[in-house]
Amino acid sequence: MAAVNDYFRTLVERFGQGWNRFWFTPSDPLPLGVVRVLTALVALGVYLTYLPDLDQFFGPDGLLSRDFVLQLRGNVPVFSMFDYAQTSGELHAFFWLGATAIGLLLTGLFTRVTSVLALVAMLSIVDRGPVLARPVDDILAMLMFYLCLGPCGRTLSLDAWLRRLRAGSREAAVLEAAAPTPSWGATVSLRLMQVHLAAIYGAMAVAKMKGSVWWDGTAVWGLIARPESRLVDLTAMASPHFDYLVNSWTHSIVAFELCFALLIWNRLARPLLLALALPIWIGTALLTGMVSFALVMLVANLAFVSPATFRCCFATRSASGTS
Amino acid sequence: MTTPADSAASAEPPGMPGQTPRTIVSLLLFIHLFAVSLAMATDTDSGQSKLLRDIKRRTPGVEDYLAQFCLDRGYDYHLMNDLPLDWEHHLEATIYFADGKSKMVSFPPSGIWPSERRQRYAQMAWNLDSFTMFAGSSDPDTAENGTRDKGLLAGAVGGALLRQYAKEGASRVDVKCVYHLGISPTQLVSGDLKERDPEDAQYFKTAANVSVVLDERGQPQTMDVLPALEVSPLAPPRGAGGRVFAPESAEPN
Repeated sequence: MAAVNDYFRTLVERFGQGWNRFWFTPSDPLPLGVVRVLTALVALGVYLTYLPDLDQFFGPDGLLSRDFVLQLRGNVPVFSMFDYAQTSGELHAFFWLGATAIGLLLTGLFTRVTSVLALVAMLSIVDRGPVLARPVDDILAMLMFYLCLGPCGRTLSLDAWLRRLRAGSREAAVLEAAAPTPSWGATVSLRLMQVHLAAIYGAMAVAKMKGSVWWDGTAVWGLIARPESRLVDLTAMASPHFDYLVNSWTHSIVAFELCFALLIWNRLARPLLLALALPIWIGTALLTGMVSFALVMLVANLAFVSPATFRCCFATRSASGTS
Repeated sequence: MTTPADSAASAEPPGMPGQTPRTIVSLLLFIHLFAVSLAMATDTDSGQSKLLRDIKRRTPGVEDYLAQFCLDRGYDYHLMNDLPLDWEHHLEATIYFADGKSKMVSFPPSGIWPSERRQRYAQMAWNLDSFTMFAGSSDPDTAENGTRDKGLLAGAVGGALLRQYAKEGASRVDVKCVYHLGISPTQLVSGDLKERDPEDAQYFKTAANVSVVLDERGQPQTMDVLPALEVSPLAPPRGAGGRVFAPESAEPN
């Protein structure tokens, strides 16, 4: 009995220690800054592509009237600033306010506030037209939500530049702006991205494994055969000579997603999986035409890159820039 | 008894938050991860268990929290499972005018750029097909919601077009959701010219066809358009909500 008690006591203690180490060990906020810049860049691109169709979708005589969206939402209270736009002018005014917020997040000005405003803008446009939402919107919402929780403007931002400017000759402040002190807020934010992303890869792999085309190796052909979406016409691969290529491409997508979900936590496997993500997502973008989705998934993967790697990359770039 | 190894393991690195903020943040993390896990387990194409669905519905605030932050997602992006919903969708809206003329509008419009815009229109059409599928579900709740949402979306699109073309005398709009079935490698190398043409009519299937008119209050009213049957049944088959549904195999494509 004592052995059982000891086991459970140790289990709880070790879980607690592991939990604290995982979520609260302070870390360099640089990866969060990189994720912020790139997420905001993709978000701004996706957001601005609403502009040509803004009136057609959400205008007073638009395809998706406010009444329709309110009925579709049912009893779930969802806030969208575009619900309050009665005229085309108001709609465009709200739109540009949202674009400004995302632009400020990109530059890193007043990041604590603008990260929240940018999230509100992104969620508002997605929730105004829920039947238009695509996978990229889900991933953007997830990343922007977690960016709000951490000090994402501590590096690579106008905030950091202004801090350095205000600090003047005060050495400590200058050093802090150049190499910020580790923060547990950055860890919580990055860890949430990592856990959520690994779960998403797992869900994607499981969803594919339920379909026979991912087992018989013909799923990639199915994507090739969608003429409007694909970026390149690969129908020449209908020839039996390419059967093995189509099969291996199909299997490699599922294998990658499954491995990512499970092995990304292993330090040795991590660099390999992050490197493999590049050809996998470029291939997926070419097959499906979902460029922004592929981009945002690659950006999300950066949450797993160590601060040392980023510092090394930036040091190499600045060294090559000065030489 | 605490061993030296335990003491070393429990030593906190500098900069870690104190006990109280750690407890509060841990509690919030548990709640958040619980909600996200529920969303991922219940929002998939494979359905949901009654247990998890009820936990999600009855836990105060969970559904609202997930919905507000767009976290109510299963993330089951399979891209291709060779099902009707996996192919490319578009809407063909035929506007009928009082003078007997008609005009067809397609969503996405042809030549639309960039592809982000095309994908949004295609997603709208995909949702109409998706709601039509739900409307035919054996689960009464799903069928009721699917029927309602299908009518709402078709009504919104048709109603908007009727308002946009009101000056020209638009009186009715038929909103047709069509998906473009992909060609197989065997069909692509077939000797039959029609069979190996991916744009041939045989590869376009109608998923839904809804007729929309505006009532006296300007609200859209919808009714499913039935394909012409070779032999009229004595009593037409009726789906949920009293609306008439046509089986997929009876489509004229």
